[in-house]
Amino acid sequence: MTAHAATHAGPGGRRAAALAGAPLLLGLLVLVFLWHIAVGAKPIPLGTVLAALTAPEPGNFDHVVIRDLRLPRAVYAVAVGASLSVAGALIQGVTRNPLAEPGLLGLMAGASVAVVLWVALQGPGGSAALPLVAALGALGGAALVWGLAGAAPGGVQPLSLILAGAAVTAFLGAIVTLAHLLDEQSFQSLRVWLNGTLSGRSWEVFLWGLPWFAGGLALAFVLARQVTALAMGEEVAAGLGVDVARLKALALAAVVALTAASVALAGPLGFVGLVIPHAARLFVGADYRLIVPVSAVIGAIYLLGVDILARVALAPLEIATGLVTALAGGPVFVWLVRARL
Amino acid sequence: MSAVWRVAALRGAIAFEAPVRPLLVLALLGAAIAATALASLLTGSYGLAWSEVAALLARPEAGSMGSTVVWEFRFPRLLAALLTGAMLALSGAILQGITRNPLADPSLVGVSQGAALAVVALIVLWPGAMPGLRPVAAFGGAMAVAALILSLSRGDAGGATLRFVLMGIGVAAFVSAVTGAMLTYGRLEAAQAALGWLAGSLHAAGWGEVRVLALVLLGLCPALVWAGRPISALRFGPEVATGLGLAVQPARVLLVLLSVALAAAAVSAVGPLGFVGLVAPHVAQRLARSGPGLHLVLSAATGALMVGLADLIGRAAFAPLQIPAGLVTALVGSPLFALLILRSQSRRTL
Amino acid sequence: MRAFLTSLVLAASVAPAVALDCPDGTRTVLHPLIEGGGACVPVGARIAWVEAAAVNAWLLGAPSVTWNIYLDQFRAAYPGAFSEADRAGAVDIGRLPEADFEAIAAAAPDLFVSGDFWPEENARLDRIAPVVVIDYEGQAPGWREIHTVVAAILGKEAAADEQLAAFDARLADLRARLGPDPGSFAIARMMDSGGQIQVFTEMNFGAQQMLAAGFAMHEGVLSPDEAAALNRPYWYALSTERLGDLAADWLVVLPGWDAAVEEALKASPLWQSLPPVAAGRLIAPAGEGQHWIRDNVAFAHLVLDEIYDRILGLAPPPVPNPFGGWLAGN
Repeated sequence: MTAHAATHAGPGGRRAAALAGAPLLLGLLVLVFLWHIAVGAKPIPLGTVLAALTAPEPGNFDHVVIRDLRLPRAVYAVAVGASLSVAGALIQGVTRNPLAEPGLLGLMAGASVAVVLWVALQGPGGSAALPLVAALGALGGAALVWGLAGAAPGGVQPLSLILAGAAVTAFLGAIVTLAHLLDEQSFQSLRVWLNGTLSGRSWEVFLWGLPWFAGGLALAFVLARQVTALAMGEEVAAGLGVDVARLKALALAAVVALTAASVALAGPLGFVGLVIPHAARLFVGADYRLIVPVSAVIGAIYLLGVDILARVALAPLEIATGLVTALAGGPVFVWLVRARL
Repeated sequence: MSAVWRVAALRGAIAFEAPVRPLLVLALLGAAIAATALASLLTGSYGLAWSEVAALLARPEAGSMGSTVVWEFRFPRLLAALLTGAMLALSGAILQGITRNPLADPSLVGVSQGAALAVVALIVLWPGAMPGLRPVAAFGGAMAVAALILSLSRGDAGGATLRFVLMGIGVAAFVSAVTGAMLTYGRLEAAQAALGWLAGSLHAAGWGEVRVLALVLLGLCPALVWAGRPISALRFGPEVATGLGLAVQPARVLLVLLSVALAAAAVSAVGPLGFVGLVAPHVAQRLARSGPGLHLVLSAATGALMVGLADLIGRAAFAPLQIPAGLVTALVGSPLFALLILRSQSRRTL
Repeated sequence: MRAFLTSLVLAASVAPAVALDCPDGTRTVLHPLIEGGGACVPVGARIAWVEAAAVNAWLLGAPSVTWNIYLDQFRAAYPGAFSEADRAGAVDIGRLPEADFEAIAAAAPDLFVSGDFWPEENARLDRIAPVVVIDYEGQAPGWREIHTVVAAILGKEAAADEQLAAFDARLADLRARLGPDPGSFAIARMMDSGGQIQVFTEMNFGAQQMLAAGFAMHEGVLSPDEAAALNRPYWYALSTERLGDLAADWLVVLPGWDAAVEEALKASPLWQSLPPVAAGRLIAPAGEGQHWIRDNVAFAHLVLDEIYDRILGLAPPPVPNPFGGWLAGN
């Protein structure tokens, strides 16, 4: 089972097509970004929205809404969407498993539990250590899943990885529930966050995560060429002079950093990392030098779109963003399995 | 190893098995269940000496509070725990047998999630509905989601098991998200009532639940007796099973339905109890290796013991705070599961 | 004993108009808020009040044999209302759906008083002792009616009338001081995610006191019917973007579930530019703020105290005893 669609055009052709498509994708990103800012619980005319972005007046209530509420939320959607998609692409390439994803493989559950326990010990409010705590949790979750899958008969393979991921996620979920039962007060504030949401997070939390987002994405771009080789098989990669063990460790570090920063900011958003890399492959084929950047852009567009849906579908009520990603991602996962197996 | 040789070996194993150790283990499990039952009947916030409990069990006194506590609270709750444990374990054992995968669990094929969606939808969308409809809805939801997963995973025989399990995960995620949306946007009190059920608690189990569980288990007994043979054939793979004269595809569908029905009945009575279906068959397997028929019995006994103990711990550990049994089974079950897998690898017995 | 009591159980099918045929040793209580129209209450019964009416019963001098979270909330506002011995002497059931029913049985009550929102739990309670069910959801009674039905069950109607009259006298004084048109108000609370705020409608308990004092509900706040279409008649969730809907003359902000979220929002330019906030007409109730939500006459006095203090800037007249004595913590 290989992670990539058959490429009909040669790599050169794909690359040319991708270069031609790049302005189109970036244009779309800008458009959806503006759309995301333009809609909301309060109807604000487009002219006011543009004025708020270009020439804000301090006392204008609508301008404050745009700049203090909607703009940060759109920025979070871009950062988290891009990060989770790139994390998914890396993990799929490195494990050569088309169904790999930070959520399915226990990384998100690990990060969530770590954050929940940390907040319970520290009290609400958090600190700049939040992404680090989430990263340690994600790493722990991944170690548990791989350990379990590797010990199962047949070793690490897509089925055992995913089943181990489900078992570890269920266990960690039970820990969160128990903690909640024993100390209702501390966990009340995390109830919404645990569903996955982009609303109401302060700019400070985003800044804490920023180095992790940036570092993870940069590392992913650097590794992309070697991941392409690895996706063709470990022997091929070794033959091309890739240090496979080192590459896997670095890719894991990037995935953990991206997942941790995303979870610390927005809670667990399932299936984003699964769906987007497959969409990217439809456009650019098997070359991770293209898959990684394209996944980042499509992921940002996707999460912006999902978040628009979360805010307008049941307006004036809001749906947790994480519920919408699961509602959209579950069927795509089913389709993927049917198409690929 | 040729298929014919394996068939012969299988027949030999069935014919000459001398199940001394399994029967001994079964007796020990029975004793452990009896001890747990005794402890459950004697434990609780209502102070009753063991002699009083014994007297009340021998002769219930109409109108005495002690009698109400023993006969209306402790006894049905204990029976419900044992029955759901046995049914979930049977469900898991059958599922693991047919998928030939040690990691298969009823919750992975959408049973818990389907039941949860149906119950939450009933509570949130139709608050006036009779509470008695809840188990019916849960059963219907579980069966519907399992059927959806089964029909989606139909296809080429090659990856059937993998597809089946993966479909379960995808559909379950979707169904859980719908449930989550309903919980968020339904009325707060209704959502809270639904959440209590979702935690998997035996706390409200009464004779009504026990009656339903017992009827379902008794009704499915003939099917369970039948199940031993196709499972033993399927253990050696579809070719061998066909060689043994089994119609593989219909047998597989019937077995999945049996497994889902058992789990759905259990979940509809007490809510989702995680990891029992996953772990109990493994524990049974490690205690005594036996033929499929006896393995089912041993799994059921292990499951009953697990849930009986979990409920006892859940209500006694932090009393009067009640920890749902589902949480205890998940917390105890999953590390146990990891341990079993790790240990079995070194001995290659799984 | 139990068989005897079971025979006393109010039949749910009895129509309100039909007089109950209560046996000797029991008192006939007829009240439209009781499911079935009435109940037979044994004389000197040990009653377990399992929901918020436990506070009303305490105010009327009748302790419950079980303790619950509503009594804890009341104690937070009126520290002198209970002694440690009062609390320790009652079995704590927390919230009924999560309660340990054996512990309830151990308290050996003769009668339960519960609400219609817990039908399954009430059926379980009925195995221990008869249950009188108050029809909260079905009839949405006002807080005075709730106090009256509790008094009827206890046979303390005169005491309840006296307490309500003392409150009305205090309310009349406040109205006179506020004048004919004291302005509009809105009541809100921060929700656990910063993206939404909880807005209370005129069915909220504190809102009823504000209305009784002469204030008008701000026009930007939804009516109970509109709120019910979104969630329930008492409150609804509003996106923080729509904070401008709460630009009333006076804004009451109840303590939120998460202090950090609350502080973050209050520090934001959005909040600062809201007219009542900019004008310093923000009222933050004391303690946990439960006296703006839970219906009882002692809490109603606390709401009046806050109107005197925060809006009029006057020292409130003393709260009548025994409540006044409890406030001081003794």
